[in-house]
Amino acid sequence: MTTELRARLGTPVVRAPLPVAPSLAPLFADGGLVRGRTVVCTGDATLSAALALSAAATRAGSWLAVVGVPNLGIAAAIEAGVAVERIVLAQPPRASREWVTTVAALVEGFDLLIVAPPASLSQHDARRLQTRILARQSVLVVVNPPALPSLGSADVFASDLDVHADTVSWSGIERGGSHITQRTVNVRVAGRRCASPREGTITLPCSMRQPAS
Amino acid sequence: MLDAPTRVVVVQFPHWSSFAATLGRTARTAFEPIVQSVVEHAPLVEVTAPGVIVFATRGPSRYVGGDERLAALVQSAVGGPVHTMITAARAMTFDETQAVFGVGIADGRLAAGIASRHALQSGEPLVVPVEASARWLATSSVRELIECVEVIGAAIGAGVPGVDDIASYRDVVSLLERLGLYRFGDVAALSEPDLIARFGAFGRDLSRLSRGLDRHPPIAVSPPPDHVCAVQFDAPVESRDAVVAASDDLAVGLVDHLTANGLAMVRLHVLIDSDHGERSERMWYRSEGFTVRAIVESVRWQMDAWITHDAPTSGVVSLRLSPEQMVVDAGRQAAFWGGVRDGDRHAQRAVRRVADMNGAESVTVPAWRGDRDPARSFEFVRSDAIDLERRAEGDVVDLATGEWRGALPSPAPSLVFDASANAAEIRVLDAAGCAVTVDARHAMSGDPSVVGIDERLYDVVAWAGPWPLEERWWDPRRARRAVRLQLLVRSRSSAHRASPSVHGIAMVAVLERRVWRLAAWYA
Repeated sequence: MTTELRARLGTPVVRAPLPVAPSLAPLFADGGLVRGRTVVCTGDATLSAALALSAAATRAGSWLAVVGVPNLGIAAAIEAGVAVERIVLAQPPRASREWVTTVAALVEGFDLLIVAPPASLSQHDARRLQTRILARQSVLVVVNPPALPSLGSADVFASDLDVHADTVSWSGIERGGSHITQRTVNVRVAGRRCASPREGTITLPCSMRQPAS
Repeated sequence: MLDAPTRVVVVQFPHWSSFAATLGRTARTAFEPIVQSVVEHAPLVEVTAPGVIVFATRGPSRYVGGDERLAALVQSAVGGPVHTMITAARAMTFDETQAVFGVGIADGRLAAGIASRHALQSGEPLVVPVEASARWLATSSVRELIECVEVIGAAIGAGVPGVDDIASYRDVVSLLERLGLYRFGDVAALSEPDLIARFGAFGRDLSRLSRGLDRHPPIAVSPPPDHVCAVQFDAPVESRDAVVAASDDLAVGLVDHLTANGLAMVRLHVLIDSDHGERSERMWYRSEGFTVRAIVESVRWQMDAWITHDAPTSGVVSLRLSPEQMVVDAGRQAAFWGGVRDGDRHAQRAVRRVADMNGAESVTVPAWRGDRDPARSFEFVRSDAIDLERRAEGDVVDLATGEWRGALPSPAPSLVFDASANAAEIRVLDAAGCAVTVDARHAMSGDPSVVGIDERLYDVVAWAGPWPLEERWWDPRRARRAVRLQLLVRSRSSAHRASPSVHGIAMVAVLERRVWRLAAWYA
């Protein structure tokens, strides 16, 4: 029955996953970010992880929209290897319906979206957005940075992949001396589209920097 | 087409933006009634920028019976709405006897532009006779170039610095004067190759302008018919946005086609017809060539004007874009791998759509400011200030290869808060519970022990600093005295149990005027 239906519909056009940095590639069974999926980034390094995930794709020509993070540190994005000429920052209205309408319009033009959902976002609207992501074959990365006020929860999204990024060590900083020179982050990838959770360690800032192509 | 000066009328408001601002209007909407009043006498006018109207005298002059009568007609036609506007705003600051605009007629845009400036001073329209036009220009000061930048069609405020920037015109004029070339006649006496040798590509423009010609030579071959592109709507379209969106599709095709032939369009004729036979047509001019964005902007402006002032009684049935003048595309060669990529175009279109929905300030792009300090090296500019299509072609410096030794050592924080704008006040306390202060020698009153953000308390694990902030670190206009402290903290409350962060959270706090603020967060 299913095979018959498939045959009638024809082979769907499968586009290659968006590339990720070599240091992160082993964490993804598909070798990259599968298009149409929703990735929820949690942990104290949520935003850094989201930027690290997006970097290789922007270098390959994909555009990245960062939604609802007005205070994004561009220097951090550059360190992560993101191509700055393809970043756009959007601050949509915070009401659920308007927010989704705006982000849905962005989905039309962007392969990658890093979004910090507003508190008002309803589950219904979040799912509507995910349908659009699936149709347009983009990748949605949901973040929830703790320092930003009145952010909503990522729970309203049906997550395909959960990326949990926690800092395990800060090097260089002492009681009054030196400064942070390196940050080691433990990244754990799990979720319903991930057969077995994978774990890895990345160091900031160096290892994510792509060699100039 | 002959490469000879065309006789044109220039209506110029030298300080239009500030004039409109004083009246409490935006430059573009306030200018529209004036354009409308001129269109009644000359259907095809070029609007280069708010504040400047240019059109050829040929048809209108013959119709009203001579250049003098046309000039007087335009003068009174423009004077009407200007007077209404001033009265409506009840702006008492205006000296009504002082003219705010000038009308000039001469051969060539530059000569007519200069005439309009003289007309401004006298308060009467100035018509330079055909036989005197060349002499008129030759005896004019090269300084007029700066004042007539908009008339000759340079891109000011296009967000892309380049030859067309007004500053570079200033440089050119000052150089001309140092070379002893005070009048356009002096410049015209030099040969074009000499000017090109001295001024580069701009030398060619100089040579042409000083001889009364337009910056761009007209292309001798007329454009093939397939350059004209039009869309017929199946049903009348009532919404402005739908027409603008249709123009987007047309513009992409048109620009692609021209680029493939190595051409850029500098003059565009836009024709919009309604179902009831009403028509809006206008000529647009961009000396740097029309990009897709520029075309769409022109159509949007024209639609707005039409809806507001003529209120067409039915929907739009057709839209036609015809390039009227083309130049060889010198500045924007398509990249060898196939020019602008589809992805760039889709992104640009999505940005335009969102800017339409929520306002252009809701979508921003990082723009390189050219500062060594990473925290200041970028500013966020409104998406409409930058042509994303050009940007994607590599306008942005490849920063990843640069050295990033700035105020904040690497790794850089992923969230930065501008201390002068939206940074939250926090508390940095020592072990005794007193606020930590820093003296003139950058010594702290005590070791930081607790950080309080809103209701949450964090224990300080480690810190670095305090570092004095360089002056003007956040805001170039104000010198500042402040210190910065990098803090590694651990959450004390149970609110963060979801992400225990046993290894700590890093942040940067800034102390200024005895207040600690959160300046950055390593999220």
